[in-house]
Amino acid sequence: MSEAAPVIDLDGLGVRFGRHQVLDDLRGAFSGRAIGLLGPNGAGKTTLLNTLLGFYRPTAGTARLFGMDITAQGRELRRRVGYMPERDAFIAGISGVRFVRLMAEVSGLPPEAALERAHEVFFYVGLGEARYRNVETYSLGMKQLLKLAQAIAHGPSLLFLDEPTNGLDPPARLRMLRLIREIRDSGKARIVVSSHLLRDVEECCEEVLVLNRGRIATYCNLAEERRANRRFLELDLAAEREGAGSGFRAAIEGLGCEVAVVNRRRIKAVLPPGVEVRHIYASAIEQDVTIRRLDYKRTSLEDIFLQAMEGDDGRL
Amino acid sequence: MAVYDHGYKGYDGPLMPARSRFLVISRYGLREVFASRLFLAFFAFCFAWPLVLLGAMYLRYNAEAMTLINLDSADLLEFVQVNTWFFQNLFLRVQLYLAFIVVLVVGPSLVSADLRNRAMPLYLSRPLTRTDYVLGKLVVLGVLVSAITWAPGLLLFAIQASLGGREWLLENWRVAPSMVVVSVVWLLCMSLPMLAIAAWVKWKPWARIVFMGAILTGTAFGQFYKEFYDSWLGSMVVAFDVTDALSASVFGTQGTVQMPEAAAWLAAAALASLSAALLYRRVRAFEVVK
Repeated sequence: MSEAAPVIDLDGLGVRFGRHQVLDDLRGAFSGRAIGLLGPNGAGKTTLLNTLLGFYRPTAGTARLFGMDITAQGRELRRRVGYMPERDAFIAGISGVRFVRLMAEVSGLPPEAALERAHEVFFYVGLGEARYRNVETYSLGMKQLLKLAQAIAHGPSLLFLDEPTNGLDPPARLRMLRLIREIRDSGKARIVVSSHLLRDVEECCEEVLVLNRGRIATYCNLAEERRANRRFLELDLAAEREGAGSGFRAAIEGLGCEVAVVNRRRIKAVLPPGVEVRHIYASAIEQDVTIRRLDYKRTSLEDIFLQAMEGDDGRL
Repeated sequence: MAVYDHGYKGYDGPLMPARSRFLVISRYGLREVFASRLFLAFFAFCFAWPLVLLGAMYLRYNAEAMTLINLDSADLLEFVQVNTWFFQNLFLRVQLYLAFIVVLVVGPSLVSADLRNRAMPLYLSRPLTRTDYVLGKLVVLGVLVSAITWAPGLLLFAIQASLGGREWLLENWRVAPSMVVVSVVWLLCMSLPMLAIAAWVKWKPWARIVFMGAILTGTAFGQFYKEFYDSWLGSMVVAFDVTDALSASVFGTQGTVQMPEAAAWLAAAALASLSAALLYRRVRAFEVVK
């Protein structure tokens, strides 16, 4: 995990509803610009978000956002937080821009500033033309964007997005993911995305926390994982002459690579620091070997997720 | 933001004080209420009776005006006695009935739509507590009810005091605070149950029906109990009996209901507390199913 000041600091956090332990002894500090919460249905993702927002009281441990305790400094924290809920949520009977203005005012913005921000965020999320329409008349995709608009209207420094791409068609989903990435890259707000869609999390998050049955199943720094994956190669070879393959293996071992032979035509190699792919190609030319295919190892988020989900008996 | 610059940006401008944040909800609520022309017309109608009473008070002290409209001053002086009874029964009782309609019409629309459309997480994820939210909604009803009960009442009182002179004022000073107290107690005893029912029922017409049903059922049961057992205890569940007893207690007059003052206050406190508890149970970001 990053050494920067943690955005989320979980310290034995537990939440129990009656006899049902929903979150159990969550620990860890997360500092990424965009943190993904992954897990199957019922894993505790939404409960964790709701607890961090102060909707549920921890029954054990505590959590801190930007170093502030979620229970003791909840009100101050909520001033800095934006929240996009999973399900439809709006105030009926008013226009979109009025709804967002109200939300901004409740967050503390003066009326004039709130109105200005409401118009700005409507254009930002791409709903500028629909801002005077009543929110009940919005389509599902528009409502998702509206929820994002109200979450960012007051300029929060931490944004909780619960299943932001739910129910969106492919173009709308891409638009939503682009907006999330833009907000992340602006550096003005940290983002926590809760989703069961691995692809969405992979596309916009730098850190991923996988929850299963209310516990942290695994933590993964996607940025580091991606960098590490660049060092693992898988090569398919076609030797022009007898013994060329073994000569090539010896040559790249001479470069300092660790080599594993899968079969006569396929090898795996780990590049040491300072050795690049062009050195591998140069060795292949020297040894008269044709590289038919060169792939970087891909430990996808799906692999990480599936590994984390494996139960004690080895089944999902 | 310029039209060509649609990048995300934060906000680092001034903020409003946290303590008065609930008034944002009230302000928006009032604006929504007055967006209905029908309600606006009804609300204007609520001032008709105070204007009639104001006219009567004016005529009572203006012999020339009475002559102009061929009214016998002795008859009017006999008919319109501006005293505690005038303010308690002729003015406040009528206005409280109108205020009941206001609460019945406006109350459910304040809360039920928010709960039905799952707006609570949006409110409560901001620096706003459940108390702030309830307070914000109560202020809407408070403003409306006050505007047609004690506010015009105090105005009438002030005019009468200026017309009747010091002697009248010394004799009837208790009327002014009594109108405020009765109106506020009545507001809490009607608004909190209305909001609580709206929060549980979540559908405006049903909330109104349930509220009316609760009042009618209470009245029917209370009357039956009073008749059958010949006991004042039945009045504890009759809203209008409790109001009458409270009003008599505050104004210091003889009430029409045979009910101890303490029992009336107890019934009012129990109703308001129970309603507040029910309302709080419902006004939360998410339901927790244990």
